[in-house]
Amino acid sequence: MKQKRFDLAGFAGRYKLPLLLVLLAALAAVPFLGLSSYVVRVFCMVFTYSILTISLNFVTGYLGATSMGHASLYCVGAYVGALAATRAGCNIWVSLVLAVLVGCLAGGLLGVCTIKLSGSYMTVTTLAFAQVVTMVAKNWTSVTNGTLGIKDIPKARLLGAELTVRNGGMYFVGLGLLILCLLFSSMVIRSKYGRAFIAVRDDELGARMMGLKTRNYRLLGTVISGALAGLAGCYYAYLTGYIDPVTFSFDISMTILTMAILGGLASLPGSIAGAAILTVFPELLRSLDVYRYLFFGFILVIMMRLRPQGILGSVKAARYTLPKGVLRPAAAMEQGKEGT
Amino acid sequence: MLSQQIFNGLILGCIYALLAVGYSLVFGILRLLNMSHGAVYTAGAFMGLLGASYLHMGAVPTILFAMLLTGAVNVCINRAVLQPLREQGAANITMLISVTGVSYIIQNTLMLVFGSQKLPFPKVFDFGSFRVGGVLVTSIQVMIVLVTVVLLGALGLITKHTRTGLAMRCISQNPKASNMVGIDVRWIISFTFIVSGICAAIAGYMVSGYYQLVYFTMGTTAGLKAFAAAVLGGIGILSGSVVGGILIGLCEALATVVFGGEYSEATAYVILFLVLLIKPSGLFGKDDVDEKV
Amino acid sequence: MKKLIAILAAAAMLLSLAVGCGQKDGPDSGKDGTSNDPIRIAYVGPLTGDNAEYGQTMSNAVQIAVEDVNAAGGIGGRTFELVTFDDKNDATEATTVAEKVCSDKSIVGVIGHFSSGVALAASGVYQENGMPYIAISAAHPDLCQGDYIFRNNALYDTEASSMLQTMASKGVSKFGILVPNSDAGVSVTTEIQKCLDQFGDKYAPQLATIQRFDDGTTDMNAQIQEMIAAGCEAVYTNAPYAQAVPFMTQYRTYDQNVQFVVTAACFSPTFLEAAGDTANGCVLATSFFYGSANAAVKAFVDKYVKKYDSNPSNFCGQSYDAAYSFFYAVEKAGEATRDGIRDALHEIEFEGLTGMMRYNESGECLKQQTLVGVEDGKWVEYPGVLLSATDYLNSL
Repeated sequence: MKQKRFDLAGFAGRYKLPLLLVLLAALAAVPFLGLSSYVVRVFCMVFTYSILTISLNFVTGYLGATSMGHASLYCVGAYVGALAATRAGCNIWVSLVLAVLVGCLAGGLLGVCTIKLSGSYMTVTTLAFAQVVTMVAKNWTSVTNGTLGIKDIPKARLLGAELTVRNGGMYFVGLGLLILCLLFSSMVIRSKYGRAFIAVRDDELGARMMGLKTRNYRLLGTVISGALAGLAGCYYAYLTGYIDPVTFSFDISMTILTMAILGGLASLPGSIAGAAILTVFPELLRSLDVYRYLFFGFILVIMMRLRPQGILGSVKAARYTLPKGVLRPAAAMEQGKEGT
Repeated sequence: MLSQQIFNGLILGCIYALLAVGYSLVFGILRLLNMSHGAVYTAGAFMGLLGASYLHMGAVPTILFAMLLTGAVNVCINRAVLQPLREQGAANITMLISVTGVSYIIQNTLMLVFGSQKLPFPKVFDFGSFRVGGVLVTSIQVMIVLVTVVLLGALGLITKHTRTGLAMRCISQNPKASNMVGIDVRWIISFTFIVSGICAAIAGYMVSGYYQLVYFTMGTTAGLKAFAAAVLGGIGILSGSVVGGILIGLCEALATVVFGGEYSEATAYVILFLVLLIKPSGLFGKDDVDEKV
Repeated sequence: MKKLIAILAAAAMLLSLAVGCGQKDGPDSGKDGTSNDPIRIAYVGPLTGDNAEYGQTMSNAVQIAVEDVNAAGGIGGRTFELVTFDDKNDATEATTVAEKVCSDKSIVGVIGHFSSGVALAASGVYQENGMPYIAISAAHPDLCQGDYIFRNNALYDTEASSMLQTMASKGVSKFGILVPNSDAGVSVTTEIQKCLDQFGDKYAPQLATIQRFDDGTTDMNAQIQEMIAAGCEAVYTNAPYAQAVPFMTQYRTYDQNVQFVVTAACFSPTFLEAAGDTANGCVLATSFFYGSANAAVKAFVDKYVKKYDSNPSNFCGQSYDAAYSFFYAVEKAGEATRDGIRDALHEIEFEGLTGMMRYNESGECLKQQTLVGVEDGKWVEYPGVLLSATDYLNSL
């Protein structure tokens, strides 16, 4: 019976690369479809939140440490980007690099603070960390300009031309950054570091007994998370042109967490799906916007109850791929038979 | 007038203590950080507003009304959200995220019903004021201290000297074993949530009466600070919550004097941060409390 | 399989967003701005959240203005229409909404946004997209840096001068100020200190202490103690009523004689209701007083009270005048286009509810303020007490 139906999943699995290229082409065409700059801006916000959700996944999904203070790393990245642009006159590309570097430091700091803790205590530390970062942003007036925020962040430039939302420039920057993040993240996940993260998440004691330096890997996870969040923050600063400490609130941290949970922890497509859904739906349903956080609350409760792995999350972690040259048992038997 | 500052800080501290106790109760028995406690406290305050301003009930009926509702809300949270997860064997993080979701739901429901602006709350326990050695003490402040003392005394009595309290302590040590020796674990957990809800309602009413303002976000800041107080004192330990609350209240008041008002809000978070860095089990906590929570 | 469905679902949603937003664009009013559809202006502001009262009342005032102008036959035979959007007083929301408003080709002007930070963020979008925007309550000095950005509100320097004049008129020797740790608080403090430097020794009252509080606080007891210790006879706060009321009530328990000076943000019925007796004796400077004998003001107030069952606030008057600025601009330009309105706004001049309406080269409409106070639970005007900032400086 099954042979008669078109095997969609198998089709998608076999032709993954061409399908991805088609998707990419479609995305690349968006700014030229004559859509309003509002739609383009929403796409840009989807890109920002996708990167943020991926960065949260490094801490929460792959490492298993729920962070409710992720807006702090986002905030650091945004401020670094804004300061680099306004005080040091850097262009966006330099600002992005700086934001990533400082983001690594911030992530590392967060990692150091939470290194001895686990579970709920770690979550609360991330909360407190976020509050402290907000306080610093509000009061370190000489650097951050306090509650007045940083305004007039110059637009991004490439080869002399301005990149804005209107001309689609920021859209492509966002898309490019997202693709970069995805490539980097899947590289990390498939490497020994990714496997180490998952080991630490699933059974820290066991991992330690196998010889993994769990504390180092936890630190690495938060550093990567900080780097990606910093990237997103800097992009946001250039996108909006104005940042202040109030924007990076607990609500934003919870939004990112909800996106990760909805889309699927420890899943890259899940991160994007979660970010897309929770950015687009509030825009489509602007008339119901007053219910937004009510929905988020329900999403959290329902997802945790019914499908904790999220929409696109798989129950298992990423499939373990054997290194090249090692044959699967069945194939080895075949070869063995032929040899004799 | 440093003595006045210190006294005001003490009153603030009692308020945090009232809230912190609710966190401690639930954590002690379930090892769960009940992030929805702040929202339930807000609900209690709004129920108080309903009773006082709209239904024109007296002070005592209003408080009882608020307590009834918050107790019920807490039991619902336990039954509908947490119990199924417990029975599924879900990780603590799952439950933490769920309660955070619940707090969003409660808060936003309150916002939808009562509006998003700050609403005035009538003055309560207004019997005037008097001076004690240069420090002005208002009647509501006296009530807050009284209520804190009575409530905490009652809770201490329940936990130490009743069978229910004994059962609570058993469950906090080992739920499975408690079940095996015949304790009705489900009922005791519900009872704990009810008591926690009652504490939240009382705190909500007293605070609303003190500042004469109710608003749907009052639970987030107060909740987080009270949580810091509970952690500072040693979460799970009632006397720790009191001490923690009072310490944080004092620090906040003094921070305004020393650093300026714009830093005082962050005091609780800085303290929380430092406690979690240096000694997560808090002042009175034993080190074995913070195993893989 | 599930993955594919989910990806397709997400793609479908994104597509529907694109389609949905494309369709929401109103009828194109065309390059020459002539058609018979109503001319649409937008109000964007906090319709929910802490400052919802301000957002809603300002939107109400613009609505009345639109009704008034339509009742009088519109401009050039065309009527006006108001569309409202909620920005929750959040910068990110505001920029997204601003972008949405700008994409709607039928909207030719925007009024609103509450706090300066949010207005700054949104004005970047308006400037980039060429949408004329009049700010009502934002007082940050650097707001009007684009040619499409206008403002109908007293700037912080006017406020600072008015406050200092009030203190002098009360004859106090020492006063204190309490400001939130926000852009509003920081800006007004800077302006106050600038004014004090300018006045020098000729200004009698002394600024005894500056107290700050974090934006969400309601417990000001500690700051109050500091102010009492500094010997303040009068205190000023520019906090909105949600913080001003607890401040005043808490202060009164310790000091029955201290005098309060607040800002136009407290000139609202909710303030009176929340403050009760404590409000008696407090004063503030405003550019709009609903009890004024002026006929136009009376007419507006009557309509407002009839429709919304409460007295209009200071920002209501300014919003009404901003809406009329757009109407007169359309009349002057002869067309309802964004660029036409921008150019015309610099040329119009009319007597509005909040004084003479004239936008200078930077887009600012300088406001003259009058002193009002609370007596027996009602607002009364004290005319002639406040001078303009330059006049006062010259009189010293």
